[in-house]
Amino acid sequence: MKRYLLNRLLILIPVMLGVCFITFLMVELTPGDPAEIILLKRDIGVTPEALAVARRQLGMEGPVLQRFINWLGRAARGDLGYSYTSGEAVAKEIFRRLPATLELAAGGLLVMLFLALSLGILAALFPRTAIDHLSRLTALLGASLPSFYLGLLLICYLAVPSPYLQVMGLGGLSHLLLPSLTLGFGLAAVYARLLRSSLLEVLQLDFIRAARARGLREAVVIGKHALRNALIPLVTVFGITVGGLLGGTVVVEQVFAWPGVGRLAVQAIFDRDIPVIQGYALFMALIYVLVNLAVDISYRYLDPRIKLGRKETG
Amino acid sequence: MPQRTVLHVKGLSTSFNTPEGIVRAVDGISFTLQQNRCLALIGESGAGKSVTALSLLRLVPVPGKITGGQVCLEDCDLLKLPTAAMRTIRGKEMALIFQDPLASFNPVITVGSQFVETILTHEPVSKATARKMTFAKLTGVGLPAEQVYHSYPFQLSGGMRQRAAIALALALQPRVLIADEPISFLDVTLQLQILGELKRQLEENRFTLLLITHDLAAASTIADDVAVIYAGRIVEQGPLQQVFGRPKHPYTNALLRSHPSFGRGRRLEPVEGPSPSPLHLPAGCAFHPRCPEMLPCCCNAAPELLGAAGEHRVACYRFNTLGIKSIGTEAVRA
Repeated sequence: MKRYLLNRLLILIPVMLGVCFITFLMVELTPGDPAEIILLKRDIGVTPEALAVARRQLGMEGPVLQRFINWLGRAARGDLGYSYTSGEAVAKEIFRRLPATLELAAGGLLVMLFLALSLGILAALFPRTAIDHLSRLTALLGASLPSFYLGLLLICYLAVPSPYLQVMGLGGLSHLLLPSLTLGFGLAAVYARLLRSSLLEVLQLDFIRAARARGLREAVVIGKHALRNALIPLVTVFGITVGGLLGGTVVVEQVFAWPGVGRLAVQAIFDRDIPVIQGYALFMALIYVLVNLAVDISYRYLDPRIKLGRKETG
Repeated sequence: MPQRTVLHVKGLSTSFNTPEGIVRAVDGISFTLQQNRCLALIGESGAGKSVTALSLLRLVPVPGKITGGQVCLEDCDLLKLPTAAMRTIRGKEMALIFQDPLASFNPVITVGSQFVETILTHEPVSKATARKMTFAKLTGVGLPAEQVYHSYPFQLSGGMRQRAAIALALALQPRVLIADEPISFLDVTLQLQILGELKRQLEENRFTLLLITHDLAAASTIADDVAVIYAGRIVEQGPLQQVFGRPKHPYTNALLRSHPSFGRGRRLEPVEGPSPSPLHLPAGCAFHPRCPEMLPCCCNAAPELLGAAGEHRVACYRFNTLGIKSIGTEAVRA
């Protein structure tokens, strides 16, 4: 187990390097010159001389590879640079906004789990009934409605008539509810359908009949024996969903004016604020790979038949 | 020794309402189980053996439905019990062992905790006591209790798993143990061991065993009585020696001739013809299209199960009309 963990952590290094390099290249390839944008923002005339000065100040001289290596060297020492626009340290800015994003992600996750479990279990217990069809319809809606549209719908039809629900910024449950719902609803769709089919399959297995033959309560048969087995394939997908969750926060934060890192990233992209974009990508990728590592380890506890680290040394 | 009837099944019928039509998987089956005795229910696959087992516990999967009859455990008709009361019977009064020993256990939960869970469902004991009971039961079937308790089912061998399944089924000292093809997934040496284990448990504990099998040799090693089932009906039943020694029904006869242990010295003869489709059972006696001794009346109505000699009963026109004499002569000879 220790060996496995060490291996997996070592693999993270090339993965993170790749993420940083690709992000760096993509920013480089997008049209728009950060120096020019800064000059325009500060009402300084865009002359070749001014551009050259600005470029030098931003550390934008030299070939891409050399700049990337410079950035990497500083990042390795914990210095992610300073935002072009605010002038603040990137790490500090990200850490200040991270709690808000994590709050939103947690809210979305809770909504997702609640919806997915209830819709999936109900649909599996009453297959081909009205309940199943309703669950299917809900899942279809969740999967096909883009979150920015869903967010606007929720604002129009829930928040406007309700005196309680808030649609702008941070501040307790009344603020968190709608963004979480927007984020969780779309993600829940896949899980509800997956859980339904996985649970239906497990319910056919002999050990479920054996559990019933031992006189166990139906709640125990479903909630413990069936669900535990049915959840194993879903956990695999969960690692991937974390990506959706983090990406989803970017859109939802925009719709609900949520002051998280997603909004910071969007603003940074508009401003060609390269250090912030790089920092954001680094953080999100790190969270993503760590969650996936945790998912892989949790397998072992969900399904004792899986032995970690035997074949996965590569 | 006076026999004590534990379970009395009368006219049990179970059918499946499929899109293609109604399948009468079990069609008016009656038998009794006596304490400390073993009844073997013998038949080809698809004859309705397993559905009978599941019907006794009221665990027939949808779209199956028990359509009639009685299943009396002592004086209580299980088919009339409310669902919650039926649950207290399952595992506690009547237990089931499955064909695939892996199927009896949840693959992701340790063997021990599945014992404890079952015991705690039925008995008001502490977890520690349940644990102690589990150890005793596992030791009782010849397993290293400590090791098996903490194992997951996949970590045990097939034989150990089936032993553990027997221990689990007997954990609460049920009055009836139903073993549905308990040995057909095991290799031959293990088959004998497991049968031996069942026999030993039957001698040492107070319960009755319903052994469901297609294996005539297995039935003959352990059963006291046999019932031969064909297309959802019992065609012949009685004490083992009488049914296997002097089979009356042509189907029983054909089954015995097709088996190496009983057709000794002779060429083995398979039962001619295919098993009937459960959707389109032949009219009259369901066996008549394959029967070498068919009479004209066999196509009209199914024969009744009638007494031959003592407890030995058979459902066949040839026997019912012509065979009366032959009992007479046999009786004289005996």
